[in-house]
Amino acid sequence: MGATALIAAAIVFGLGALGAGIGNGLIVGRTVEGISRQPELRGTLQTTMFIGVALVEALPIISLVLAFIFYGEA
Amino acid sequence: MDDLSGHLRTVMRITFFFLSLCFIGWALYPEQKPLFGGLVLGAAASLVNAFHLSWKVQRIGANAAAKGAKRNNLGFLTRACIGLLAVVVATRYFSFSVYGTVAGLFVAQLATLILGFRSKGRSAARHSSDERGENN
Repeated sequence: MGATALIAAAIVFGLGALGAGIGNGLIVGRTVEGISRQPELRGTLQTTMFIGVALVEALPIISLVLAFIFYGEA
Repeated sequence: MDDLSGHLRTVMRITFFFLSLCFIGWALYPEQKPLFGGLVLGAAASLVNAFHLSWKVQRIGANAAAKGAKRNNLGFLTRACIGLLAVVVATRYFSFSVYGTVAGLFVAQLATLILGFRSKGRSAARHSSDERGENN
């Protein structure tokens, strides 16, 4: 049970962080590119970035909590 | 320019409305205190996370608009630690439900998603009426 719970914690947080890293990189990169090209659209692009990052980051935060629950049960 | 602050204000309003519902539920069903307490704590942490994210997004946007070379990060670790702190406080000090706290951590994100879909729908409708020439 102990080793299995540790592996589960590692997998759940590792895959969550991997997905969030890729997603955040794409969102922030495209937003910064857009703001650099058209600074007058900064407000709209920032709002879109806020929505995207908030959605992407919900999963790894939950996976971190789940990983610590698994770690506590190991 | 103030799109983001208006959006954040609406998210805050929705989260406070959710918190008031949780407190009413707590008062009406005292036997469900761990669940409602966890939801309250998780929603409060989620609101703090939303404010932190908005501050970071504004900093990144200002840096990109100024074409500065300063490096910024999104501060994910801080927000993850806030979520973890909420769970630890809920379980260690108040004996609230972990699952309620984890569900509460979704509240601001859910509000953001709903508001995003609504604003996209409104802008699409405005765009199509502009194309048909109804606003001229």
